[in-house]
Amino acid sequence: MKTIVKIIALTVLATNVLSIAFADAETNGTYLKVLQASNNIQDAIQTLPAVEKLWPQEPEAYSKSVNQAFQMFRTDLDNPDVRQAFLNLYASMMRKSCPTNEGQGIFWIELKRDIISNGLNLDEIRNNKSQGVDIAKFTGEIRSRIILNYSNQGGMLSISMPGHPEIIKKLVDENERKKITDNFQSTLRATDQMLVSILRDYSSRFPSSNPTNANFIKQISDAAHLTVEEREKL
Amino acid sequence: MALYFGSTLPTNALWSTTAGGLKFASGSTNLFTAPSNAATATITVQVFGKSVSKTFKVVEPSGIDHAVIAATNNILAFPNLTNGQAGAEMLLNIYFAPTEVSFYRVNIMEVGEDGSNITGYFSQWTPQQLHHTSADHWTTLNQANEMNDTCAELDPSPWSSGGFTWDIPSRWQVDGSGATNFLNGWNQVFSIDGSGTVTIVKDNHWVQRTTNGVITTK
Repeated sequence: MKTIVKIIALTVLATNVLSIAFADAETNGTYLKVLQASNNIQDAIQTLPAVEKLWPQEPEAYSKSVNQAFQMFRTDLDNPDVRQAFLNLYASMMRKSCPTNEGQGIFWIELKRDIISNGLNLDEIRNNKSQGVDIAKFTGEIRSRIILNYSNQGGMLSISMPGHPEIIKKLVDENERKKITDNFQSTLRATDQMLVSILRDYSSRFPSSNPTNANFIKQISDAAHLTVEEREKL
Repeated sequence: MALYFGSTLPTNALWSTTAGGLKFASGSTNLFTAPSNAATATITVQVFGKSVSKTFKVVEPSGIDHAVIAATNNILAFPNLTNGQAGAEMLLNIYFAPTEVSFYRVNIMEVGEDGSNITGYFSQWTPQQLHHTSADHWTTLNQANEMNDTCAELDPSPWSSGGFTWDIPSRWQVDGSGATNFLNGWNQVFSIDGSGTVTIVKDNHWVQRTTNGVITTK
């Protein structure tokens, strides 16, 4: 751990690193490598195999490492090496499911949504039906975790219980946990809207009026758990 | 706010804004985050050299518009009160003004202060012991500019008449922006009488509860 602290002290990203220090030294080391590669995309590409090893044991470290790499790659997608690294990262993310922990899930879903949005700039993804099916599967996964008619459970607390600060602390902690669920459900709903619009975009490029596309449209409709009304709009 | 095209694009769209932030510089979809202060933001998207712009007027929250009492017992965030206990609870749905715009993803925070105007029964505690300890946490508004506020009090016996006040400074921020802004504050007043009847006043509403569970509101 001392070694890691020394490395952190030497990097300009120290504040960022300290705020996301992971318990396991190896996990910390991998995340650090990605951060330290922020000025050199080739170095970042080299770290990806180590990043992959963080999954599934360290979903938070994995997500934050992928995000760091993604933010570098997305600015240089005309570079063939970077483009391929991005496509590998994209494919890897699409194979993985959302962490069960809702707090980690919020970051994960927003990251995956952003990677998809950027991926759609690339012909390899835009014009590939199987990529559309993968996005539909992600939509289905999102929908499976949406609680219908959900209303926020957390909120502001204005509670006085003189002489019992420990009970108030317990209530506050529970309320903060509920807010995470509220944010998770909000993220799910916002992401669902965006993904459905992306699927509509796919379906307009592969219209079901062409018999060769009919199966594709059915596949994405089923995988995304689209409603009858939504299917009619494809 | 999500931005996307209703139909397919044959090429990448290039996005820009005069205020606030866009998640991406290019692509078929985007996410716009309003600036953390009042401003006019013009979002422009360019496709094949042709551009389309849309201007949004961004306004700041000006304070509480109104509040509605949603419940006075069995509130999720507070233990149930039973007969013989001196306490009251009131779940308020608070709406922030102006209501003709959406403050979705705006966070509101009450700042915790010590108790003030302490009289009678409550004088057995110091202002610090009557501190608003459940404050200092952000709560996110929904698309209707609304959030819940659980107002509650539970007082140990023996009872006598008394009261105290929380003066409540408040803050707002755009979720994720980090910038914190001031909002006109409000207060919450607690009181009790010698029979253990408790009254809480907040946001032009009050709830009163006797020790045998009779609840009155306004």
